[in-house]
Amino acid sequence: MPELRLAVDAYLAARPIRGVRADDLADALSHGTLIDLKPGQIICSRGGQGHALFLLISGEVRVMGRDRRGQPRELATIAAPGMFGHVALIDRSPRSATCVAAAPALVASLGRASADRILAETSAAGTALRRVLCGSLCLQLGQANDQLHALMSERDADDTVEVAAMSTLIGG
Amino acid sequence: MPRAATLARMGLFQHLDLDELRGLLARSQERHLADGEDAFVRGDAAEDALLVLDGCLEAHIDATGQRKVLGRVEVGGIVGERALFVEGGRRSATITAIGPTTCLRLTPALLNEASDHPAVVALEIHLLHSLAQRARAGTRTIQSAWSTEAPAPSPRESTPRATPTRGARRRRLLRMLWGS
Repeated sequence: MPELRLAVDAYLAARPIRGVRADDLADALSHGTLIDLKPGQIICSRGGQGHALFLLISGEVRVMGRDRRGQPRELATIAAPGMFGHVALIDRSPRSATCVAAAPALVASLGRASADRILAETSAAGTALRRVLCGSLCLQLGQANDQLHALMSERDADDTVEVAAMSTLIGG
Repeated sequence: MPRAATLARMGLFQHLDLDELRGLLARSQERHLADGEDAFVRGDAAEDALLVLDGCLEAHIDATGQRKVLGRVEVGGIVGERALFVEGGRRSATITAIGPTTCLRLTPALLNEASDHPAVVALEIHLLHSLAQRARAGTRTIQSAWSTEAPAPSPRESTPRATPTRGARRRRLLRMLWGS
């Protein structure tokens, strides 16, 4: 799967994640399947089970949630190469958002059974998958922490929420 | 209590035998902290993580001149794990010992040199679940607390501003947590 290998290379090149060899991560993800998506096709749905994680190889994916009135709202756009769907796979909670192809897209989908097996392995592929997921989550949480700290630095701000959220994200 | 027995009592190592835990101890160093001593200072280069063996650590930051306590890490808890997985990171909070505290120092070199060691695998799996739960819980906390705010404009409709409002930055933060 040359497309997968190219996406893995690009994903790792764009992120300062330690100790992950592209060969090993591509090996781990090769246990999944490649899925061609048409524009508007739903990849995973809010409230659904985290049956797989995804690496977006090409195209764009819209992350859709609902606002306080229950109306669909675009929360983010994921561009290739991007990883998504991994939190629900790891913590086994329902999906928090719906992901829809915004354009023709290609994703590598690694199902739960394969992911669980590889994550528990002492193999190089297992190490690569664990570390890329840990690294991606660390980067995500770190960026959120920086944003929260910026909000808290504003004088006269009611930062109760930010302190609570930052405590959660840092894990203290 | 021998250190291997201390590790064996921690949930993350519950499936490992004492020999495997001794193997982890043989590859790592302890760090001893006095009461009130800083283990990490916010903004410093992040080069290692600490697993609390004895005592307690407190995470805090300074915002608008005030010390904000984020929480405490007890025996079995880990702080600074970002350093294990991300290059060139900085500490996101200051970590201070509450009472005399002993920690096991975990480094990227340890993880690389013993990547197939069962204790390292157990450690990484534990951290993976912990990080995912934090991402989920953080998103829920913020989403719930901010749900009373006015609905955000669609990202496609919004116009870049020279100085984003507090609300705009909150919405950007939420999108970041959702969309990664």
